[in-house]
Amino acid sequence: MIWEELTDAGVLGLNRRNRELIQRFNPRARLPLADDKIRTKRLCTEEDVATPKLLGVIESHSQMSRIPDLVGEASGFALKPAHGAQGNGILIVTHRAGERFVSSRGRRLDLGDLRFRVSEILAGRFSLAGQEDEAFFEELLQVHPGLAEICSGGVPDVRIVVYRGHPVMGMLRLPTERSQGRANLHKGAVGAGLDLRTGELSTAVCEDRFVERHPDTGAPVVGVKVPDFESLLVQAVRAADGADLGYVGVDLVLDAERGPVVLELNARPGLSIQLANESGLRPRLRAVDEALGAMPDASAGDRIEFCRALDGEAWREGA
Amino acid sequence: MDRAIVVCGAIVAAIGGAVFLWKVWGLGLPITPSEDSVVWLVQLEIAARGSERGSGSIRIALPRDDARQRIFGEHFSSDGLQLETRKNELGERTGLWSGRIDEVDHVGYRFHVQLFPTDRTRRTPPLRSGADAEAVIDRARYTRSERRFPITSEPVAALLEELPLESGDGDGEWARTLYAFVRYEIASAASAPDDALLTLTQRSGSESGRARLLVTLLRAVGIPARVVRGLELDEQRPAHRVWVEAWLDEAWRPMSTGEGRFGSVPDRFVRFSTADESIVRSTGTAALDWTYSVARRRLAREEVESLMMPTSPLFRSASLYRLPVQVQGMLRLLLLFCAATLVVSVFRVVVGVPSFGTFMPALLALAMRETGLAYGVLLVVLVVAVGLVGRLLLERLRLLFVPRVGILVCLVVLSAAALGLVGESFQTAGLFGGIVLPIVIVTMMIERVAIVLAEDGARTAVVRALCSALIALAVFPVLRSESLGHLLFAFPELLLVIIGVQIWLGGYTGFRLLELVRFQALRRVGASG
Repeated sequence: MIWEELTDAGVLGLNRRNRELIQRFNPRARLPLADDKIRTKRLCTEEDVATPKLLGVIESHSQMSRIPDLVGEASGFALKPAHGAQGNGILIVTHRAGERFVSSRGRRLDLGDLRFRVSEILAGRFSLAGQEDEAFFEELLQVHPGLAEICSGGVPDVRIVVYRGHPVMGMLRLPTERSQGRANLHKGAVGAGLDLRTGELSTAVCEDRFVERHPDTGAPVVGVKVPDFESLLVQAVRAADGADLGYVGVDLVLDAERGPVVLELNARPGLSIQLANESGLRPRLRAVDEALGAMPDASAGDRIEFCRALDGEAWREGA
Repeated sequence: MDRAIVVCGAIVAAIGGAVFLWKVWGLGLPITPSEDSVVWLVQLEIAARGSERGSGSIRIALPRDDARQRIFGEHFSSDGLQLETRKNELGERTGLWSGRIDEVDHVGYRFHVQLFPTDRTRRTPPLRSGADAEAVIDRARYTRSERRFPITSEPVAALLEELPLESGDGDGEWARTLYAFVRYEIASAASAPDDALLTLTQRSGSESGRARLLVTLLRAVGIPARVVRGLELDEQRPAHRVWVEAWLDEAWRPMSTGEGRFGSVPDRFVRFSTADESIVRSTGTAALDWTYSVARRRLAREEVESLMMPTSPLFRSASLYRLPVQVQGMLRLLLLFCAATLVVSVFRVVVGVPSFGTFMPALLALAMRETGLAYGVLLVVLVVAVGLVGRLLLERLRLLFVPRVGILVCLVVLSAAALGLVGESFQTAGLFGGIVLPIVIVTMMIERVAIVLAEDGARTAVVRALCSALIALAVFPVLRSESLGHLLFAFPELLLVIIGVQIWLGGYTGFRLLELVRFQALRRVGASG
């Protein structure tokens, strides 16, 4: 039966994730840190973790007139709600055409459109619980040349699931035409599993099906190596440690100039990462629990090494 | 699942279950509502505004026991008027409140009535209303001409000439012919005359007009007849009803031209009086208003018994039936909603169906409960469609979020009002009532649908909508179930069982059924490892 097979494969389901991981390891009081991207950014700065440069925050309608100043001469930038969920409400401006801003979806926007989007964000249209929100402008990140070949429309990001300080699983998310520049798997982006030892893309899924190549460009995805992978893991673990969340998805982008920067923390990371890696999460979580039992005070470096050493067949033997 | 969860849920559920079983076996409370124990609680509330004169009176006809109905647990209330109950020579009672009616005075009358359905298999229905006391009736009294029953008037005589009343036939056939004439030849209209003669000449009459005409015709051919007034027990719309009784085969036989019944009236009619006057009347008042509320209850045997005994306290046990009628109806619905949350939990936690909002499908089902399923779905789809179109138009104005939602509420209310008008013309009353309650819910749903449409595309929105509809459909029969409503109302401790099951569901960490599909691709991983 499927049920037993999935249990044997160590697949983690939503019910178990909610009850045994999120409720247990992510105390409510720490959630606002992950839910508010501005606070996450502040936290990361304190922890010496790189994040995209903040151009400015709009907290109320009265500050709306500051938009042109905030944006300044930057040709491209991202406008985001502080409390957005699943990437909703994010507007990416890639360049300008005269007075107008050109969005990643190719729409031409004037200042009025920007102000409207900001006011929607402030009113809480995109926020998790519909509460009033803040909007912020961020520098536009550039695709790392090492990944440029497999990209089409949109910057790919890396999701690392950190469990109790251990980077247990990771994937690279590639936006597609279908996903309209977004990196969410359920919107049609490609998810590629990461071999934690090498940073190589081992498997890839799109729309719940395994693929070898990018559906838009046709470039082979599997086998590509994510550059700067070690420093990426370090950043992810450092951010998770700083947030004090026991089960967290750290989203990073590999910027062409700055290397890995942390975009946001997700205290309720999705489960599709298992599909992308063709591997269940539960054996890895179990291995971490055991390791923590033996060595409760391992350093971040040790923890990363532990996970990297175990990746590959070793996880599966634990299953 | 944790052992603690299993134990905890089991304890809670067991407590509820034990109380329930004790009530069923120990006290003998019926689990299923049986027809024999159907009891109605009727509450009549009258408000009267005094006139210049200062003193006045309010008079209501009171129902009494007969073969079809048993009246008990009566209760009279008044602000400051003196109550007097009178009995006429037929044994029919009148409640008379008199005194100084100042600004506004309130008078209340409450009673329980137990109805015994007429047995339709028998040719002579067991209706012998007052027959015990009237084994021999005063024929002259019920065949004479009165102001309201002008049996000697010219149009009546002319009509009787035309009608095929064969001299060889008995009273029964004649009565049937006259009944058929009024039923099929006289149109029924609420605004038509109340007067027998006008009803005859205009070929159209109100319920009273037709009843009076039938009594006139019956009396004109020598059959004793009278107008009967009563109340139709309908939880939504209780209404005064008028019908006719004729003395045939040594018994009063009811007939209703409005309902098209000869020899019986619907089981839900409570008989009040044979005085051909309004049930509620007043003198010396400037304005008079009254409302009925009616609730169906099913009582335990001993509860009925205790209610039957005026000397004992009305309600002994801690039963929800003690609550006022309107509250009872609402509470019944809330209790059913608790059962509905259980269905929603199963769909979300065990099956894993996504929807717009957690309990929104259940609330939608609640809205559809009033309208019926087909109209309910149509209604929601129409209103959401109107809202979405309105929202798209508003998009260009770039309005702020809160005022925009406010505008949407207005649009939704307007479209609901329009639907109400349509419903009125199609005689599907209740179409409107259904949407009133969840107007804000529907509006917020429009916002959510709009966001999903914009962010995730039409496909996701449609899938999500269909899933919401699926849950609503599953919840619908739960909310409609009368026996479940009775069960939860009579045994509210069953909520503990629901809580117990919810605890189990809350501690369930297995796969959701749809995840088995979603993670299908990972099957081989387990096989290879």
